[in-house]
Amino acid sequence: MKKKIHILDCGFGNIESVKNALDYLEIDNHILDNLNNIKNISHLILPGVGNFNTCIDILKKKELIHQIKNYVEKKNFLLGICVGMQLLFEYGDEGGGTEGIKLFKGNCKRLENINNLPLPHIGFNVVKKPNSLMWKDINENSNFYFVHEYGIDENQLKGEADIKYGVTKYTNKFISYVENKHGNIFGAQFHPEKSQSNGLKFLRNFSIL
Amino acid sequence: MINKRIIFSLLYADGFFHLSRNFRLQKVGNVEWIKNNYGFGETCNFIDELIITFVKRNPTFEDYIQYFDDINKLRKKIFVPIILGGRIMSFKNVKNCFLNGSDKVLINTLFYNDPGKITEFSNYYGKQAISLMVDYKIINEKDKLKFISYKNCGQDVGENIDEKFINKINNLPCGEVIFNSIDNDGNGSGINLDIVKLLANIKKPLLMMGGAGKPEHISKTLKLEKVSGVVTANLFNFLGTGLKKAREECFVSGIKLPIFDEEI
Repeated sequence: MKKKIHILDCGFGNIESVKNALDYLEIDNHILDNLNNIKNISHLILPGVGNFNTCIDILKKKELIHQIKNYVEKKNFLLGICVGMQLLFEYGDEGGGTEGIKLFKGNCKRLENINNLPLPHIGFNVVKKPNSLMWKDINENSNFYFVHEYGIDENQLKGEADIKYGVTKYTNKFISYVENKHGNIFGAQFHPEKSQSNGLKFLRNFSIL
Repeated sequence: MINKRIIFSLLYADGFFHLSRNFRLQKVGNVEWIKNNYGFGETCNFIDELIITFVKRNPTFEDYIQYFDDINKLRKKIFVPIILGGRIMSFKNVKNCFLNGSDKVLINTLFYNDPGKITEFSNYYGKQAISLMVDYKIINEKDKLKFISYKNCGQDVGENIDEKFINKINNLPCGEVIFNSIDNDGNGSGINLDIVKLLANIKKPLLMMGGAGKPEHISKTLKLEKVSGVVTANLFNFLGTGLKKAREECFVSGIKLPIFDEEI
């Protein structure tokens, strides 16, 4: 059964694109700007088009970091998209460097500038997916849309027990999907709402957890 | 490895989408015409991104309302990135684009007149959310080709396109750059590739626009290692199954593009 999804509007991000995808999938959804005194939320999306440093500043000003931590401690489901995923890590270099929400270990750094490949990494690329309910009915080597210059290098999660993750290769191999050991916190470096049928399946899978 | 991109571009003003030839606009049809002739849920299986540029001169508040209203009608079944551009001069303009379904914004004149504003946008939305459009013309001066950029919808001369200009782009906090040939705009004669050599030192994803009239024009351009994508705005050349054929031609030519053929 599809659960209602709430989209956290922090003032950054392509909220309307996420809402558009959920509407198309006929998933009941609602946009909200804080998690205070709101009950019966089980599925939350933290969307992202933004600069890491600015986004963290906004979350701090709105006292959302504490609220998000409280929310996931109760084993509710959270999906961070693009910078929304990066914010879930310990630290981000973009915009001068600042601490993240710290739900996952690792630092978000500028992608390596090698092989004469242009930066940012923009376009459709393949995710080497893990075995997870979030990837149900999605084929191996499916393409997803990326638009980012910063990311979490694959090596930062190697050896992390019980963390599931997906990897994408561009200049270096970076974490394009992450899931915590309790299976309630997820991050996608790609934009599922902009990844055609592959992305729509991914969002649908989130709604039926 | 990353795929190449085919991007479709629409020009909008006064409730209509327009065809452009050498930057002269011709009214084609309203949002219903676009939906009927391109059936966007289907068409978007054959494009990687969609650009919509607001080309109304001196728009009023009501013009913006109508524009965003039509964008919101169009994007219901679009699940590829949408780039909104045209008349972007302030942070408020950028914010309004994001509030109306934009995933990136397209900048042109501001690059020449007030590049500091672009830094302001990127500090908030990230530089990857900003695409730069460089409109240009080629002048043959004493048997030597000279490349000149233009601003204000091709009305005013911008700057010479040379190494200094390229460095300026590399240092600009934007995510990608589209070079759009005013000479070839809408003529369907093929994309000008003379400029690509000059752009060898661009460090951002490079997209080429202006002149794509048939599938081979797109595949020939995408074969160039330096080029990340092709943008086409010709509403008639790719009508019906045109974009599908262009994509198929690219597959035959060995160009790597994602396949989107699955319904959900």
